[in-house]
Amino acid sequence: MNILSQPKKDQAMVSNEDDRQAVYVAPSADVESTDVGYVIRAEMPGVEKDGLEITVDRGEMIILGRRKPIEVTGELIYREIRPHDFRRVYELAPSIDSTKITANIDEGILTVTLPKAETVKPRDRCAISARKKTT
Amino acid sequence: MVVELPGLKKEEIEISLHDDTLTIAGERKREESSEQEFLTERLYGKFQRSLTLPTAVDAEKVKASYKNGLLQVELPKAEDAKPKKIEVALK
Repeated sequence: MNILSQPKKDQAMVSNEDDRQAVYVAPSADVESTDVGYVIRAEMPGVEKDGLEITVDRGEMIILGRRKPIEVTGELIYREIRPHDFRRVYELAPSIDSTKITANIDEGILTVTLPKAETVKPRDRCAISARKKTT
Repeated sequence: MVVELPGLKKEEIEISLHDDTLTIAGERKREESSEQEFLTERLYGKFQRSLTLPTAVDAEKVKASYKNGLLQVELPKAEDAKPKKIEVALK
């Protein structure tokens, strides 16, 4: 799976979508490759399910995670956490079935599962057996 | 205090207070997987961070919660440390 080179995770990225300028941070993410597809695990602390937006457009998957604002009840004496929302774009290999992408988020870890299309999976050795192919 | 610690269970986070130093520690374990790692960016292993609190806190009343990968620690100031109004007696 090709991964578009993104700014290093420490840099904020400005997106000009919808004529809006918003600043995002790319979440650190691991990518695993399996026989049946890929799994991405991205760190998005402070993001809940309703803050997630995953879209696939022209072979690109855009992951967006909106954080709930951290409440400051007293006087903020030190800030290190960057309050920006998370955004990352991945270029999807053609072998991925984008209609079957699933995602869930738990304790700030987003897990996206991207299955390869049926016809691309490794076949068993007995290719002669009469098996229906999904087209 | 709010700390970003995604991907943990609350039992895996250790919080300790010694005098005026607060320490947060734990270990980030990798998900068990025999699959091939294609790209690894996340950091794993033991972590620890200590900070010196500017004022004394009441250790009995420290509360911590963990939600959405954020650890929130509330440390009430010790009675002695709270700002006190000092009455000036006028003669």
